[in-house]
Amino acid sequence: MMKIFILFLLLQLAACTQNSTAYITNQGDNTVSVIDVGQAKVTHTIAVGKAPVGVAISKALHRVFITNVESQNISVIDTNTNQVVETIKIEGSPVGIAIAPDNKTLYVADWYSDHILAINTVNYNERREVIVAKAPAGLVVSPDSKQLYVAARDTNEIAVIDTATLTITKRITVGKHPFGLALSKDGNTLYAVNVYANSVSIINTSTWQQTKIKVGEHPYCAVASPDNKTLYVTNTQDDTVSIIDLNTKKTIATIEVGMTPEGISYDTASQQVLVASWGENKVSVIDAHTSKFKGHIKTGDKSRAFGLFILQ
Amino acid sequence: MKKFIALLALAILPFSALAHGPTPQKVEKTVTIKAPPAKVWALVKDFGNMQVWHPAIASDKTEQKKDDNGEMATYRTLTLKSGGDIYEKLRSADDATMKLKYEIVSGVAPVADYNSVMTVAAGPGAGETTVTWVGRFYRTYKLNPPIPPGQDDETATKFVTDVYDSGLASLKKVAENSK
Repeated sequence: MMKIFILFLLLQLAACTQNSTAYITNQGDNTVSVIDVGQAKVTHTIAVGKAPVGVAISKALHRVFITNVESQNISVIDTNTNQVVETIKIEGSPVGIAIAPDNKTLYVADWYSDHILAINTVNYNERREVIVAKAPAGLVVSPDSKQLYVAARDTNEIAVIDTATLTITKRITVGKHPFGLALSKDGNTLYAVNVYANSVSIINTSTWQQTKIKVGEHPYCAVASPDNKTLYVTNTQDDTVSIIDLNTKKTIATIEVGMTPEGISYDTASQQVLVASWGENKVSVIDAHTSKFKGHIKTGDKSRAFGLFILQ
Repeated sequence: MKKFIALLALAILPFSALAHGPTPQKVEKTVTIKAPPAKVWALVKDFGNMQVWHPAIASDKTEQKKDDNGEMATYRTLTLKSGGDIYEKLRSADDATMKLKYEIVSGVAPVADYNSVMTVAAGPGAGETTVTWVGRFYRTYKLNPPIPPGQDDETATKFVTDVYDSGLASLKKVAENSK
């Protein structure tokens, strides 16, 4: 009995100290850097398709999906072996990508053909599609998997899609050129990053009320802390991350990071925010408690990591 | 006639207000100059006189006008020796960090959504200056493949590489030889 109890304790301990894994797309050398976040080092470098950009992860399926915009396909990585196990051919140019929390559907934004593909994760050939608007960019799915939000960049709006029928139920006008999207953990707040307006739209997903907050130059992506108290936004042309207090809706810090920061994700295990630096081929790490820059992890050429890129 | 239309299409495309593509390109070039940083920075930050140090430019004319957000900004028209203009907006010229940021608004350059930073820094040796010129931009073709020649990543990257290489070599000469 005692033995079992100790084993149980050890297992608990192992679960608590389990490091997260980040999957960073490197556009310039057609690879994905796999980072052990706790150790702050790259453990694997995986060759994928041409000009990889987007990342979506399913912990339950042990899969990472990577959009390769210039080779028009999706690389499927097995997280147990960190090897590409399949390549899904796409007719258009895939950029934004997200997986439903129920793991049943993978959503892919086709940049040039203006539509969203809904791919069955059990059978990749089973696909549905919906035309959204010119240049669909960022995608996020609600926690109940029933709503898909799409940043329709060239029409300056967010399309809300019913995932059962794959129809657009609502369009919300935001700032000029929305690109990255983020959701609060409870799904009640949607964040849209407006690239040309240098702002973030904070949207209530029941009342659709919207507040805009100014950020830095040419912002791309955002992520909220799990408690939804803080929002982090990458400013690509200021080489900074804006840290916003979501209670007061004010910027509380602006952190210098690697040049041209793009994708951003929050690691719950280490309480750190990871930022892909396209301009300097690395990931910048921010301590979420102190809101201070912690250091860099060298990755591949032109790191982007567009999407939720941490397996946790 | 066909050639004329093709040329016309090439000339019009870069002016297009359409948004950029999904795969940004980067060119980064560096030169070491045997002249003090202040002297090099004075040349670099002079937004209306790029013809002084860049060999491809015949003339440079600046104007002040309101930008898309209604704020006053400095613009310049660069007329190339090879013909055609490039219209650019000054984003910032910061004396403290010696960084010049600008973007291309329109013109004959075969690039889209181009923005750039020129950084002047002391070193590596005493009395030396390092200039770094970084550009981020997209190809002009904005549809699914096949990508027509002349509107691809290679054309855009080669253009920017040539501008930076010839510009930095000439900047070095001008800064080292002028009083």
